[in-house]
Amino acid sequence: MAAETMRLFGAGARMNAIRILRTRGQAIAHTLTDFIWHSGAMLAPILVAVRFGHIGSWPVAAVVFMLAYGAAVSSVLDALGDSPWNLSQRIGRGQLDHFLVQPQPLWRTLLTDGFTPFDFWPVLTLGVVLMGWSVGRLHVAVSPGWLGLLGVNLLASIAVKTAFLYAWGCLAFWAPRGAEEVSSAASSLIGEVSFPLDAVPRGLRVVLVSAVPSGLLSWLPARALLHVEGAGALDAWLTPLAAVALGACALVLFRLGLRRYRSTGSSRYSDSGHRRR
Amino acid sequence: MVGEFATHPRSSDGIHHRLTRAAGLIPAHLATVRIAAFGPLSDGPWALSTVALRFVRVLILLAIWRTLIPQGTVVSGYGLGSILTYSLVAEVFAAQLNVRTPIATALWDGTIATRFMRPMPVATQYAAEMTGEWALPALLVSAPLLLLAPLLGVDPLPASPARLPLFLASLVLAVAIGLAIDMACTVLIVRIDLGPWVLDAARAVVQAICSGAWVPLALLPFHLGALFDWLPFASAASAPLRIYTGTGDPYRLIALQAAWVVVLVVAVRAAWSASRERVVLYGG
Repeated sequence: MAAETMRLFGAGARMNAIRILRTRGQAIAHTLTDFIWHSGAMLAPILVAVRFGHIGSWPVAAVVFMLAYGAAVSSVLDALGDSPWNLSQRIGRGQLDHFLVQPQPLWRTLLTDGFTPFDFWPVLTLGVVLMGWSVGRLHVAVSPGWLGLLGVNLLASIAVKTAFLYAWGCLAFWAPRGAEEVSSAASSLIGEVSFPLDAVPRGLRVVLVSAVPSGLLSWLPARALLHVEGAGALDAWLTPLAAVALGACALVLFRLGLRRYRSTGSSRYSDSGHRRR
Repeated sequence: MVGEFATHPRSSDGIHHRLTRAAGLIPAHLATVRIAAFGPLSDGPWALSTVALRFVRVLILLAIWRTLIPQGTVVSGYGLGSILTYSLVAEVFAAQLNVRTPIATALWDGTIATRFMRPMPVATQYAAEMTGEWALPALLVSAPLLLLAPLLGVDPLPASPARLPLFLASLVLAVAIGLAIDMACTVLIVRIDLGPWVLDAARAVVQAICSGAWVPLALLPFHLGALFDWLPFASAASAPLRIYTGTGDPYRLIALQAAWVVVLVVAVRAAWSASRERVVLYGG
């Protein structure tokens, strides 16, 4: 099972490399674009932090760490393909059938579809380098335990965003037309947080780490890992806990939706093949 | 602005004929505005997600400024009151300060082909569509933000009553500059065969840093603001906000905006005229 999954990841990586080598100009343009997009989004908050020397209790290096952490999470998610972002479209347009007819479990198709590791390595590299730089500046005691916690939090942040997108995308099982674009709406809602949220009103902060967990994609893990003022002793485990809870919720919704899809199928196309509006 | 009727006048057309033709186009443009205004509603309640996002964005920014600029202090000409008003008004007029027409996407997905066949100039079709798309966000975000401003601890009024007409004049010029920049990007897409998202990335960075729509340019480090002030991106966003908040000389800012409008419109019209035959469509 694991070997087959790795084989499909390998096939995705190989096709990604072939595409880059065959369309070098466009591939370079796309890679640069992604790099500019992410680094540019980081630049404005960093410039503000540099101008004032801090943002609240966050020194400049801690702000850089938070943004770099967010960039690393985004780049890994991007490399894993479009499935979470397109789920509602695929369900709404009946394209889930294309996955269901494949001779492999659905989870493996969703996990490996669109794997493009070479498109996003510059942003991942940028994130890792900036995290290393800021950890050095902040004199964080880097131990194997701390690195393990960083890895667990990174995986948890990726899982949180994936689960959030899947949970919303599942709505299309029940409203294939009305909720066809809900995945892209959900992705815009959970956009990356550019500033530390400590100063944000408490009510909004609670929303941003629960219902719309943008704060779990960089702010809360970074605050816990760097022990920024206000961080609790157990905060480093909040994002992994949230990932488990949200993941379970998304899984239940997906299974319920899939059960319904199996009984109703796609109602999007008429018998003659035209899409219904 | 860059339409064919302006760029390719027929020699037999007199001024009267052209004016009559332009007047005849008004109902068509108004209809385009109306259709575009109601377009987002076809997506159902999901259109509201972007509305919520904008509220969250402005609340975060207001909270950040409160931590950075203590009450009673002035940083680079900005007191806490003026910076809060700046951020709020920037969000209220976000669409006008970051003008985007759908023309670049239409080039990419091929739908521009049908636009060339309509009896309307291509550029003004898209300008009308863009104007229509402003309606729903204005109703759901801009108006509520202005009404809720006192509850958020922000004074939504301009620095003085005399600044309001100057702000509106500056806003019109800002939209004109934004449209010219948008068309310049379209010309680039046509000439170097780029996907629209390639330029979108660069524009997003420029918008975040050089325009002053998000962070006032005077608050950037290393005196970057003094340099960015002279660029067209600042005239497209920062200028009206500075006039509104009383943090800039309105006449100097408007004069600079007018100069950029003239330069950009002339340059973009010439560039589009030289490039429109190169439009290649792949979409379907």
